[in-house]
Amino acid sequence: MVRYQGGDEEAFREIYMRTSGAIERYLKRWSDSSRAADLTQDVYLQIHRARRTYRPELPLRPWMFAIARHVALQYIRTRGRRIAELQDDSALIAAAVGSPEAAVVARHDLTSALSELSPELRESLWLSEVEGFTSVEVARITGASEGAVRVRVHRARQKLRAVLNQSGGDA
Amino acid sequence: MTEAGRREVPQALLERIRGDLQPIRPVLRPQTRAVVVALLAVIAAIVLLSIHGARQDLPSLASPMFLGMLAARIAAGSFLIFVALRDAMPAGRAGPAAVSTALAAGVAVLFLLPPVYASILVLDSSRIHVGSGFCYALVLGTAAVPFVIVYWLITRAYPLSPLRAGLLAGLGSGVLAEAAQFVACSNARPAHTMLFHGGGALTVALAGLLGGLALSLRRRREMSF
Repeated sequence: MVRYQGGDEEAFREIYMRTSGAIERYLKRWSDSSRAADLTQDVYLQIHRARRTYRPELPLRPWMFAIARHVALQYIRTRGRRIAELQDDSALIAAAVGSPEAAVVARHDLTSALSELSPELRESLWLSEVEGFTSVEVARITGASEGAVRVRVHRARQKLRAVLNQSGGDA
Repeated sequence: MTEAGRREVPQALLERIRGDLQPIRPVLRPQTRAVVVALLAVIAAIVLLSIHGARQDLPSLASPMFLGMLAARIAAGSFLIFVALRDAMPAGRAGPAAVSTALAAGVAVLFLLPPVYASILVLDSSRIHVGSGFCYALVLGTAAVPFVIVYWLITRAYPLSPLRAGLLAGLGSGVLAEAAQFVACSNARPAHTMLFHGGGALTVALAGLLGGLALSLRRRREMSF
């Protein structure tokens, strides 16, 4: 990133190649798949605009995801759609369910349980479970306090655990 | 894709990046920039006071109470500017508690301190000579220096909530200017201070909000949707 700030085009290519997959996957939660590729380009253009705000002592991924989230929210506001309508949680379900057999049993229940979670809970859970961010990093990305993020992730996990237990008992 | 999970940069994106790929320097830490802005605001206030003159009753006001009121204004204004600058850093932005505290502190020094101060101070109306409109204009004039600098710093950074960053920047600049006016104007009547000093600061906050809106609209135009 420091090389990119110094004007190195190759460094930008490298950052794009390493990170665009995760950014696009994150954007698919907020938009239909066909739009996610265009939104990914928007994100990298905004990353370029914001590149002087990156400081080397801070981790790069939360900084990039904060900008990606901003672009996604702009998109949703422009489209006038509710956030909850757009969330694609397939990767979250895949991460939450262990074995393929369990996935078959629990997928329907998990989808149903996830739909009952608030968008804030689902987003915190996604960033924590799928992207592997710490609570501090999720707080940096979403602008919430660290305490609020911990509570959200805890509540979301509790709810999903209850559904999985229920699903296991039924099977 | 070159390999699993690695993708080539789309040509259209690369073309847009290439047009603006000159080396840049990362922005300084928000606290460093806030100190610089506060110092420049103090210089602007000193210039104002050297032109306009300090309040006539200043020698009799060098009390801990007066100095405390002044320090509270400077601290609140500087904190607002620090939070505005921090808010303009993606993934380093100020948390909800810091933003709420800063806004509450700004409003408190503008609208809660004047009645407290007036209730303690014995007003000598024969010394009051400053016109209300003049006070309002002086607050705007003094606030212009820190506001222009902070707004420029915000546009150089990347606020994820441009309206909020603009509001914080405007209110912080207004509070610092009101601190200077506190030293310049001898009219301590709450109605005067709240309406013409506080009102001036709120006008700058409104300007910040509009600046944030302009920034938000400009950014929206860059996006593909």
